[in-house]
Amino acid sequence: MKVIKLLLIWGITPIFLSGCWNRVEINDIAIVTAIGLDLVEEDKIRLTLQVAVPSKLVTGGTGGTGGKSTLMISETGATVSEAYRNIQGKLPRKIFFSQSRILLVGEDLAKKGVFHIVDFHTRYSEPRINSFIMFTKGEASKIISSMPHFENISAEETRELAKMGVGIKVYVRDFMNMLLTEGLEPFASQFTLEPLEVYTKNKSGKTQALNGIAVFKGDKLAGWMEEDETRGLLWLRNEMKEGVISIKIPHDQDGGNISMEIVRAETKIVPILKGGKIKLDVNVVTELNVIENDSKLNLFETKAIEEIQKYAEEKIRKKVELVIDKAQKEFGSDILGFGQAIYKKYPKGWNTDYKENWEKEFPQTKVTIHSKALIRRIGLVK
Amino acid sequence: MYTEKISGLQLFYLMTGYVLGTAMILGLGLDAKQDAWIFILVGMTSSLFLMAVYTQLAVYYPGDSLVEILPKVIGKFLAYPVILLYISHFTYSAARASRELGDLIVTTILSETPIFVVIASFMVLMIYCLRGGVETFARMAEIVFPIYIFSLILIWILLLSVDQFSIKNLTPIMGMGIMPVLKTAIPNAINFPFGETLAIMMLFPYLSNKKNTRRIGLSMILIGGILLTINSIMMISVLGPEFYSRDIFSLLAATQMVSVADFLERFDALVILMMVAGVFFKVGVFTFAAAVGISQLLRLKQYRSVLLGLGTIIPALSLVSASSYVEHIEFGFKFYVPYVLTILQIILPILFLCIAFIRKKLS
Amino acid sequence: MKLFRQIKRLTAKTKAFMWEGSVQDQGNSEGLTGSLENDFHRIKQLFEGAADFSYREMKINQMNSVVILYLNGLVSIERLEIHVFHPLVTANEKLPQHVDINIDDLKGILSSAQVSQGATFREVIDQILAGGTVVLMNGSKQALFISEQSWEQRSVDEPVSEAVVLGPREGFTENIRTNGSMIRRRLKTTKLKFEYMKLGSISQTEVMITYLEDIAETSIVEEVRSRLKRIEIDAIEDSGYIVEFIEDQPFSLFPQVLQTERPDRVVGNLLEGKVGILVANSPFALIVPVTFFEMMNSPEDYYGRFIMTSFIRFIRYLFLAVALLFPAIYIAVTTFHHELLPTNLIFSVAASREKVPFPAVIEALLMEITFEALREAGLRLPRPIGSTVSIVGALVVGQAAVEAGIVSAPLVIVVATTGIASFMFPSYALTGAIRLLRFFLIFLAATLGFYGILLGIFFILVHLVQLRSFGVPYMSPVAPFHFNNLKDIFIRVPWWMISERPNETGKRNLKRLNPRNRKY
Repeated sequence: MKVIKLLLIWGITPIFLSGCWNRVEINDIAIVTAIGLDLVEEDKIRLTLQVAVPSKLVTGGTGGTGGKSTLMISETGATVSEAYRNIQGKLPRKIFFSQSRILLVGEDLAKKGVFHIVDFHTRYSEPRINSFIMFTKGEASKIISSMPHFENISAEETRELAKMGVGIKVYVRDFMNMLLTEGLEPFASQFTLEPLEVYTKNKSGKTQALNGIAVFKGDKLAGWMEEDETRGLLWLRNEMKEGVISIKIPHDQDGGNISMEIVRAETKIVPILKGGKIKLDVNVVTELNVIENDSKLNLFETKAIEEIQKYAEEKIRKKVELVIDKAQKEFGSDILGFGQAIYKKYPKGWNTDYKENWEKEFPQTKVTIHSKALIRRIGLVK
Repeated sequence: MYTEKISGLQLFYLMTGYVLGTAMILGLGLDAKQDAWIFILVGMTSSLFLMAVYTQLAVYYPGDSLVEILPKVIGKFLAYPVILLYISHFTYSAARASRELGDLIVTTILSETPIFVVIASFMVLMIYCLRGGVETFARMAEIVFPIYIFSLILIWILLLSVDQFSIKNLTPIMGMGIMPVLKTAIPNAINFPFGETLAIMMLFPYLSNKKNTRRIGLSMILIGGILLTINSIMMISVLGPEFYSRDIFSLLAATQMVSVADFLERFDALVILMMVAGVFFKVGVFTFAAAVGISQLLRLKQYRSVLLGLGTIIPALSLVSASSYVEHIEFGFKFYVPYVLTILQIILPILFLCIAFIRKKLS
Repeated sequence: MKLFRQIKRLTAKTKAFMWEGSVQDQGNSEGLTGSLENDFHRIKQLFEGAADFSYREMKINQMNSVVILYLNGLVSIERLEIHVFHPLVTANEKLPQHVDINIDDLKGILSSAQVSQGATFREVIDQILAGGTVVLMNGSKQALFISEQSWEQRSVDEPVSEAVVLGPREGFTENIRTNGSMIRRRLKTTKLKFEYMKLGSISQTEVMITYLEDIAETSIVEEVRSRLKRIEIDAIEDSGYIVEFIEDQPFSLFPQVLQTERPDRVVGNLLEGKVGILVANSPFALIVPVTFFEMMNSPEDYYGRFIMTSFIRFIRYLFLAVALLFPAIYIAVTTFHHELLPTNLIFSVAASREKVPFPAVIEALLMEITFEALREAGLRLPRPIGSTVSIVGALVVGQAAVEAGIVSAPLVIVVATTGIASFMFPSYALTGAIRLLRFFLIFLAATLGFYGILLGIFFILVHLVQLRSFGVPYMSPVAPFHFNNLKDIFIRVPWWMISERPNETGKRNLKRLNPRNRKY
C-alpha cells in the first residue's frame, strides 16, 4: 500500500504540472530599454519603445558585428496598453518591460494628463516602479531615437545620468506618490539634448542632459523650470548632494570670485499656525568648502569668512526664493510640499481649513526664508 | 487519540508563522494609512485578551480539542451545529488563504498559468505533508519558520538601503486622534490575523507539555504582532502611506524598490518564498484543524482519511467562492472578517468561557 | 486501476514465495559418531567435487590415527606444518604407544594458538569452510578445530572514497578481523562490543555488530540485531546488500545508513552512541542511525582547526544548494522570470541563446545527462584512458558545442558549476540523491518557474522530516530542534565546547568531556 501511495503522490504531481503556460525563452523576448509616450492626432497615444538587440550588444556574442544595438518601434492606441498590444502585433518577440528604466513623456501628452500612464506603469506587473519618469519638450519619440550615447544602449546612460544626482531624481513610484498625496504636486526632470561643446565652431555632437523640471498641477503639466530653479528645488527637497556656489565680491572690496562646493545642505519647512493664519518658515543650512578664490580677501581671517558666509547665504536665499516665487506665482502648484508639511504638523487644521481650498491658499501663503551658510574648510592653501 | 506529540517550540513556530502568514504580504490596516502600525498594535493587544480566553478554555478542559470541548460546555444538542460552523470556517479559511497565494502567484510571476494549477499543486504538497501527521508538519515549521524570519529580516535590511526610505512617512501619527484608527481596527484588526489563532485550540491537545499552553498562546500573538508592526512601519517608510494603501501586495511592491549596488535588484523571489511559506502555515493549520474536527465529529479513528477529501474540496472551494480577486477581497474584508469572524472568534468563545466558568463553579 | 490490481497481485505472489527449499547447507546437525572411518567418509562425500578440499590421514601411535581436513588456500600450510603436522608426526615420542588416548591429550601436543572443539558435523563443516583446520580422531566424538587461516588479501590502504588531507590514512580492508582490530586499537575498553553473526545461506558471510556498551541505546542495538537477523538471502557480497535490507524507508532517495571506509569515522560515531556493522569481504562499514547533517560532515572536519572547518561547512551547504538548484534556477530565470536578471546580464544571456535551437529546459537536460555520462565513463574506463575522456568531453561538449551554437555558454557554466558542486559532499550516497533530485527540480522549474522550485523544495523537506533512521529523525537536531547539538552541524565549535553527545543517540551517557578543560 505504501508503494502505491508514494506512486500516487509522486505520479500526480508531474501530470499536474505538465503544461508550460508562461514559458518564454529569453531569446524570444524583446527587451525594452526605454519607453516614450506622445500625443498624436489630438487624442491618441503613441507608444515608442527602444528595444535592445542583444546579439549586437555583446562582444563575442554569436551575432555579427556592426548594426545598431537598439531598435525603435512605435504604434498608436487610445490607451497605453492598447498601443502596447498594437506594437506586439508587429513584433515577433514578446515585449518585455521589466528592464526598462526610463519613461519619457512628451509635452503634449503631459499637458493632457498623465495619471493613466503612471497607473499602467504601476498596475501592470512587468514595468518597474523604480524606473525614472522624465518629460521632454517636444516629442518623446524623436528624442529617444536621436539619443546619443557612449554606452551601447542610450537608455542605460540616461539611467546613470539620473542616478548621479545632478538633476532631480524622480521614480515612477515617487511621481505616483506625489500625485496621490494631498498638499504636494508632482514634478519630474526635464530630459533634453544639449550640445557637447559650446562656443566652438565645430559641429558639435549632442549629449543627454537632465537640466530642467517639469512642474505639474494635478496630473497635468503646468510648465517648465530651468536649470537655476532646479537647483533651488533640490535645495528645498533636501536632495542637494553636490554642487558649487560662486559668489562675486563687490568692487568696493576689490572684486573677484569665490567658489565653494556644497558639503551638506539641510532644509526644513516649518509651518506656523497663528490666529488661523498659516505662515511658513524655510530654514536652509548649508555647509561649504572653499575651492577657488581669486579675490583679495584673506581667507585665514574669521572676519573674511563671516563675510563670505553672508554672501553665500544671500545667494542661496535667492535661489530658493526664485523657486518658491515661481511655484507660487507662475504655476500655482505646490511642488514644494508646503501643504504636506502643514498636514504633518497640524493634521486637524489641515483637514478642516486647508484641504479643500489649498489650491487657492497656496499662492498667498507667506513664506520666510532663513538661510545659513557655514564654511568648514578653505582648501589646501591660505 | 493524541498519540502524536509536538513540543512547545514547534507549536510556537507553527502558530507564529500562521499569524504572519498571508497578513505579512497583503498588508494590514490599509484604510488607516500611515497609522497602519497602530492599527496592528491595537489588534494585537486586544487579541492578547482573546487568546487568554482561548487558553483558559483549553486549561479548563486539558487534553481536549475545541470540538471535544463544545459538547461538554453547551451540551451535545447545541454543540453539533456550532461544531459544523467551525469546521466550515476552517475549511473556508484554508480555501481563502490558498486563493490569496494563487492570486499573488498569478498576478506577479506566472501571469498565464491557470490559477487552478497553482492552488492544486500547492494543495498536493499540503496534503502530502499533513498525511505525515502533525509531527511532520511541526518539524516542517521548525525548518521553514527560521528561513521565513531570516528572509523577512533580510528584506528589512534591504529596504533600509532604499533611497526613498523615510521614517517621516509615518507622520502625522494619529492626526485625527485615536478614534478613527480604533474604529477601523475593531473588530477587523482583531479578527484578521490574530483572532484566527482560534484554530490553535485544535492543536493544543497535541502539545507535549500542557503547562506551556498559555505562554505559547500569548507569546505567539505578541511576537507575531510585533513583527507585523515592524513590517508595516518598513512598508510605509518605503512606499509612503498613499502607495501602501493602494497596493495589493505591499511587501512585493516595497521589495521591488530595492537596488543594491545597481546590480542586485528584484528580490521578488524572497517574497514569493515568504508567501509560499506563510500560506503553508496558514493552509496547513486550517486544513489540519478541519480534518481533526471532522474526524472527531464523526468519531473516525484517525484524521488522515479525511485529508484527501479536504484536499479536493479546498481548491475547488477557493475557486468557486469568488469569481475575481476583487470579489474575494471584498467579501473577505467587508463581510467575512467583520461579521462572521466576530461571531466565531470573539463572541462565541467568550460565551463558551462564561458557561464553562459557571459549570466549573457549580460542580 | 488495472495496473494497481496487477501490482497488488504481484506483491501477493512474492509473499507466497517460501524461503524453505532454497539452496543452503542445512542439516548435518547430528553429532560425530566416533568412528573415524564413517565420519571421514561422510565429510568427504559432502566435499565431493571440491578440488580445494585437502586431507591427510596419519597414525599417531599404535592405537590412534587422525585425519586432518582443510581447504587449500584458506590455511597457512607453513604454520600448519609447524604447529600441527610436526607435533603429530612426532607424537609417538610424547604419547604413550599402546594406550587409547583421548582428544584432550591430542590437544595438549598441538602448539597452535587457537584450538577449540566441536562435536557435530555442522560445526566441522563450518570450520572447514571458514578456513579452519579440523582434526578428527578415531574413538572420539569430538573434533579439534585449529585456526590457522591465511589467505591473500589487500593490505591496509588509504581509503579511496574518503580521502583526507589531515588525519589518519588507513582504511578498512576486506578482512573483517583486520577491520575489527583497527577499531579495537582506537578504543581500548571492555565496553567495546563485537557481536558476531552469519548472514547468507550460501555465503555464510560474517557480520559484526559493534557498539559501546553504556553509551549506545540498547533499543537501537536490539533493533539492529533483529533487522539483521531477519535477512534471509543466499549471499551477502558487500555491506551494500545489507543497507537495503535494514533501511527504514527503502524507497527514499536519501541514504539512511552511513557507509564508510574509515575506522576513525566508525569510532567517532560509536562514541556518539551509534552502532557499527562490519561485513566480511567489504571494506565499507555501516553506521546507524545517521542523520542528514552527519552525512554532510567529513571526518576531516574534526582534525582541522575549527574556524576553517566551520567555513568549509558553510561552503559545503552553499554548494549543496547550488548542486540541487542551480540548473533549475537558470531555467526558471531564463524562461519565466526575466525580470530577475540584472540588465547587463540579461543581454549577455539573451545574446548567447540567440542561435541555440532548443528551449532552455531541453538544453539543460541534454547537458546534464551528457555530464552524468561523462562522469560514469570516467569512472569505468581504465585509468589512463579516463583522463582522455574528460579532455575530449570538456573540449567537445564544452567548447565545440558552444561554438557550433548548439548550447549556450552560460548553460555550460551552470552545468560545470553544478558538476563541481556535486563532488563536494563527503557522502557518496547523498551525492546520488542530490543528482537525481536535480532533475526533479529542473522539471518543476520548467513548468512552474520559481513557484515550482519552491514547491519542489517543500516536497523534499517534507520527505526529509518524515524520514527516520532507526527511529532517529533524519533532520535532527534541526527538526526536532535541539540547540545543544547544533554545535556540530552548520559550524563546528572547538572540541572543548562540545561537552555532550548528540541527544538522539547518546542520551544514556551525555557526558563527553570535562567542561573545565579550558579553564586556565
